[in-house]
Amino acid sequence: MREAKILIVEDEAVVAENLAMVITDGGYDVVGRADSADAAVNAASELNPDLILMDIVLSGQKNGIDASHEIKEKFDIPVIFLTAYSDLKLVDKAKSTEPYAYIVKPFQEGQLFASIEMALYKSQIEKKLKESEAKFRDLTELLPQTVFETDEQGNLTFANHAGFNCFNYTRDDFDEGLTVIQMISSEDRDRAKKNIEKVIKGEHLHDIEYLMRRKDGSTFSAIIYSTPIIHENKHVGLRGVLIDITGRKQAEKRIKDEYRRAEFYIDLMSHDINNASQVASGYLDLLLQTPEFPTKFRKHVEIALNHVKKSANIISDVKTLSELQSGEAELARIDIYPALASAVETAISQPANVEINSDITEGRYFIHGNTMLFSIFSNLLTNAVKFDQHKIVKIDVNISPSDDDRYWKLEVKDRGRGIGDHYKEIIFNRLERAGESAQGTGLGLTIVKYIVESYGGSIKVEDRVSGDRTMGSNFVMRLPKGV
Amino acid sequence: MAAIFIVDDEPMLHELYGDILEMSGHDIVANAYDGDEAVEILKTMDEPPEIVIMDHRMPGKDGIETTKELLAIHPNLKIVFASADKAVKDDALAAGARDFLSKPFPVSDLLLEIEELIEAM
Repeated sequence: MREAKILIVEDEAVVAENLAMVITDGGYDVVGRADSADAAVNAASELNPDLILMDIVLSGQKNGIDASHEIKEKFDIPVIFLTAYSDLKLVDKAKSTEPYAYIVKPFQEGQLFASIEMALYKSQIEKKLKESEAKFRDLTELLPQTVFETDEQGNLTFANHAGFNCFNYTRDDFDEGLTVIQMISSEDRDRAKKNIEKVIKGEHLHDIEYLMRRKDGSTFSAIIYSTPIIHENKHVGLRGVLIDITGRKQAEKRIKDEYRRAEFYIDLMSHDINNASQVASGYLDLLLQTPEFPTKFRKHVEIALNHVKKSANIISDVKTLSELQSGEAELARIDIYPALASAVETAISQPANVEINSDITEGRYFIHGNTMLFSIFSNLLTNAVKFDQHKIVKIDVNISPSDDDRYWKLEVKDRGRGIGDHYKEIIFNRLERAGESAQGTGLGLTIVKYIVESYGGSIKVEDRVSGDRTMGSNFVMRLPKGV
Repeated sequence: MAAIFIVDDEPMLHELYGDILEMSGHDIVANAYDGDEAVEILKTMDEPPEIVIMDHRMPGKDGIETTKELLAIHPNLKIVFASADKAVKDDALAAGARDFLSKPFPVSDLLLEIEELIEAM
């Protein structure tokens, strides 16, 4: 780092002149000279040099060591001592100012330049370190979460501002000694001790929940992330962040309660409505089976019966959806064929002439899914039949691998009346649209989308013949391959 | 023709099952509206029924628990579940039920089921 600005502090003019020449010849910029300790401090302040070459014995009351102390404190400019004295007492005193070098006169130019270079380099590094330390200290204090450090025994050696606020301890308490175990409620202490041992031995523990304890004995739930502190290849403590999750816990509980309530209502409603449907459909069935019942009214009873069944289906769909949303889906590698085959059977048993062509065969196509796959096919095929007015309903089910070979692309193509562009997006999202006036009553596609997404797949609908919705729809799914 | 015991907490279903089964010539020999009552009635019957139509969700004991207790008294009872709780089908069969009708079911399914059970006797 040539071109560095250097201040020379030397009370003997001839020596100073000589030194300045050497330094300038070395390619440095001598920005000033001072002949006393006070002059040195002033020059340091005004000229802001990169480095100071300091004689120790100066005229006046103060010496170079005094000047160094003052400069270090005020400006933090690196100092190299240049002196004719090498007695140990003086060197000891000089040490306390943390000089970058101590050169005994007479010296060689090479030695001086090397020391200057080292000093400039080291001071740069230290400056960067200090900046980075300040940055992390600021960030740590700004964090709303508790940040802490402990020694090997679990004694707290550091806590940020948020930590004190969170636990209501004072700096005095801290100075008297606090342990991390004290911060944890008694029922969680054994577990915490074991975990602390693990971390101090070198494990990183994430996301561990504890019940914490404040100074006044009150408790709160928190998650702690911690990591060992390593010093000279030894684990000497741990460092961690603590996140108060009281708010999250309350929200989780509220959601759980709401879910339970909703499930309870759905349960109650479905049980009672199913019983009512059973009574209604049972008597309508009986009516149809009564030989005396006039034929011309049979159609009316059949329509009534169908609608009772329809209401039962709605209840069953709502229940399915609610169960899907409250439980975690367990997934495994399953064959697509059996689910499709039984859904096809259901679809072709509807009162219409249905032809389903599929290139899916048994034992060849596996996905990551579960038995709900049947509901996917059953809903799609039943819809395809329901919305097709042709004498013969034709449906194609095709399969092909995705470009990246991670998914099966499944297409269910019908020749029904098609779906308007506006509805292509929203047809799967009945729940997200809850509150808007409901279009139609089916929850089938919402269920399909839910299942597909629980598998990690996706579904969309396109025109079977691009741009002409009247030619029917193509439901395109991507389902993760089972491995 | 069979002697049938109906266990269900919904009185209208007793009436419906009764109408359907009696029209087809079966005898409704007992009616219970919860599990405890079913167990009590079965204990006091001189001649046990051949077939039981069992609801699942009832006040107190559920259908599965009731099924186990009834079978402990008369292991030869043929118990048919008639319930909207499809999720309990496997448990019901494991507890000893012969079959499971999912509410709401068509009248013909119930009659067919009864015929099959009679044939198997």
